[in-house]
Amino acid sequence: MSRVRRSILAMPVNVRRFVESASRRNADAVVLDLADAVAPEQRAHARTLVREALSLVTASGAEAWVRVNRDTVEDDCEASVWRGLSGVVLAKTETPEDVQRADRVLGRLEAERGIAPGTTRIAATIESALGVRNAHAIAAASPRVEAVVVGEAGLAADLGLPMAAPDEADALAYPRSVADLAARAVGLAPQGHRSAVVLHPQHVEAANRAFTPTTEQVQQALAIVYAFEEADRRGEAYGVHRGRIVDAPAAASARALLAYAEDCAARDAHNMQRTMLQQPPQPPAPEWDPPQPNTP
Amino acid sequence: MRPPEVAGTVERPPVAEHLLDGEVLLASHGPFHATDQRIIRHEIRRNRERVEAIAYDDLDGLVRIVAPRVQTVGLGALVVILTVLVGPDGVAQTIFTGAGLVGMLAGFLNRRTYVELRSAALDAGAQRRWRIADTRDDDARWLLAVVLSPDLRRPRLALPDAAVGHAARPGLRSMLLTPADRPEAVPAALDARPDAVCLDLAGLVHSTRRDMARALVWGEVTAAAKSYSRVFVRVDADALREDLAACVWPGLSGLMVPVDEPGALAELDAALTALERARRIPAPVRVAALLTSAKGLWAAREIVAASPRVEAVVVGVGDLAYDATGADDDAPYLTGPAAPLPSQAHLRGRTALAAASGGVRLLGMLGTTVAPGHLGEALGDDARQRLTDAARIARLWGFHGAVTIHPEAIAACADGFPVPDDTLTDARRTLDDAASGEAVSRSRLRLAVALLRNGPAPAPGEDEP
Repeated sequence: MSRVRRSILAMPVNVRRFVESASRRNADAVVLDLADAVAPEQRAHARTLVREALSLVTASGAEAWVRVNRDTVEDDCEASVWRGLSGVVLAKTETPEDVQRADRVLGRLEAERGIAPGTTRIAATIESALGVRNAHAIAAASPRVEAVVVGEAGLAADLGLPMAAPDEADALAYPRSVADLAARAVGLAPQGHRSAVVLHPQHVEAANRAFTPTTEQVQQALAIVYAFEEADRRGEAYGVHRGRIVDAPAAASARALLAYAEDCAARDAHNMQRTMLQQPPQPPAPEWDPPQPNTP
Repeated sequence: MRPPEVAGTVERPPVAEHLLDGEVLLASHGPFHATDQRIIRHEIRRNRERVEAIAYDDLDGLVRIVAPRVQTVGLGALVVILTVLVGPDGVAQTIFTGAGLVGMLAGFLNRRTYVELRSAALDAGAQRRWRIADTRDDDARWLLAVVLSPDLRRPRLALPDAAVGHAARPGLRSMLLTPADRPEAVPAALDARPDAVCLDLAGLVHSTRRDMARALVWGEVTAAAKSYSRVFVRVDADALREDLAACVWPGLSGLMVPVDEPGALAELDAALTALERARRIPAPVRVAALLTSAKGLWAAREIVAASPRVEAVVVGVGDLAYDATGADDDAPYLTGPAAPLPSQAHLRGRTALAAASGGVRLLGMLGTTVAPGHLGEALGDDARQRLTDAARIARLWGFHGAVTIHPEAIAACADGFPVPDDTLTDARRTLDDAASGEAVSRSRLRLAVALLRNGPAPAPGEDEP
């Protein structure tokens, strides 16, 4: 199954209430934060909580990631690399050496703890001008790297930009595009256009809905694949659908969408089954003001 | 290796004496000759001339056959049997038997390829079949192409007046893609008078027809070279060797090649140099580098600088093209890389900078996702206006021209990508400066040459053998 990551729910690892509530939601991935969301003096304590939080999250069927600090990558990974961990989000990545350092630590811990070598992934977040400059080298620094994305709050701070910029002054469009192009140039799957990082459990369902292909899109893709295969049988290089050329790249793109839609459906079916079996009580609404979803 | 001689050239084979009035010889291979009316078998055996002919209408079938060499196998078998029966004992017998077996094996492995022509019009018996041997040979290939395709039997494709052309043509504003397996479409493409016509051996040709397209492309290149338009061929990176061997002939102006790393251009350069020497091609074949992947786009600057053959970069195809499943209504008129990559400004700016830094042209795609014949339908009555608008916007993004599959889009390209007078004046001044020994940057010089001289396309008639 290809990775479905419509909703990525991020939360501090040291607030147990959040972690428990998160594990009852249908997020496709959960990021347990050991970095900015946890005050520096609480990080040592937070590290002791990661292992249990991981098992809570993975029991819900979501991918479990831990966001680690670049400066304390050894300690953070030491606390996080357990069975069930999908990978680490490497905060504030600036150079390929940052990635290589994390790569070495992960390799050592995998060997020590009997985890298949190379299976712990790295998602590098770029949060500085230097990181943008090095995006391609960061993406190519280790085969573990699965995504290179812009950490918007961090980068806006580094560039001295206001956090809530209107659309027409979207200064982060360029760094986002650089990160995406660099990632694709080394063969990584593009992120961003099919997922959103959400900071509140209540936004999970909306993100899941927004990034699930619609019935119309699926029908359109089926028609495209059909038109291409019909043409192919006739010995023609392209078919026609609604006045548009349907060639091999178009058919490949449509097939990819169908596969993705199938994976989304499988994930939704899994969530529904789990919800019905558990019949969990509705979690009480958190008593904090929900921040707006952060849509890359 | 020279292309097969066409009608009216210097060496007339003796078969010419047997042609009918007005019949034109188009291709020859061994004893076989294809004219615009018949296939002729002409042999001289024991000083006696034998001539037979089949009209194309009487041809019943054409079969490609790959068979073991029966004679070699038989000879090997004979050696083995003789050695076993009467041969000397000991080492010599072993050696002879071994040699016989090797001979048999060689006969099996080294197969012959030939094409069988079948016709009831021929004499009875074995004579009902003609075998045209070794179809891997270029002459044989061309002969078969003529036999297969009625379009090639016209001695010359009907072309627009050649004399109008080259001087008035300001660069590569429009490039019209047309599939090489459909020679009947080439005259129509040339009638639309694009700055360049691009014969496609790749995406527009079904995989089962690629061999046929390669067989036909020599004739198309040679014929189209006499037209107003420069001649490009789009090749498939996965079949580069075969495609180059098929299309690099005198008359070819450039190649459109998918490139995703600078190193690929070094290999291409070497292959082209060898072919140019072997086939006596007067001017170097230029390259329009197709950036079809994120990898290629990332390395755009290095790719542009990797070979002096690079004349243009082309974007907006492959995995950088529009998302087929999205409801992107602008896609049919789009130039340049598109969804699902996030920032158009970044990607277009990046390609424009790369092109400018190397002094090459930047081409996008215009109307290439609209099916042939659907352009009016898809865009409504104002088709031309919307295409022209798209081209004008592309010009503002730094594009110099566009690749299209629609003859209707050629005029839009000419309107949308005008070369302003002061640009031409600037280019002339740049050339004058360079000629008088003043320092001029290499990229400016190349762009000036590109603007004024239209690359290496020979003037009409220059490429005649």
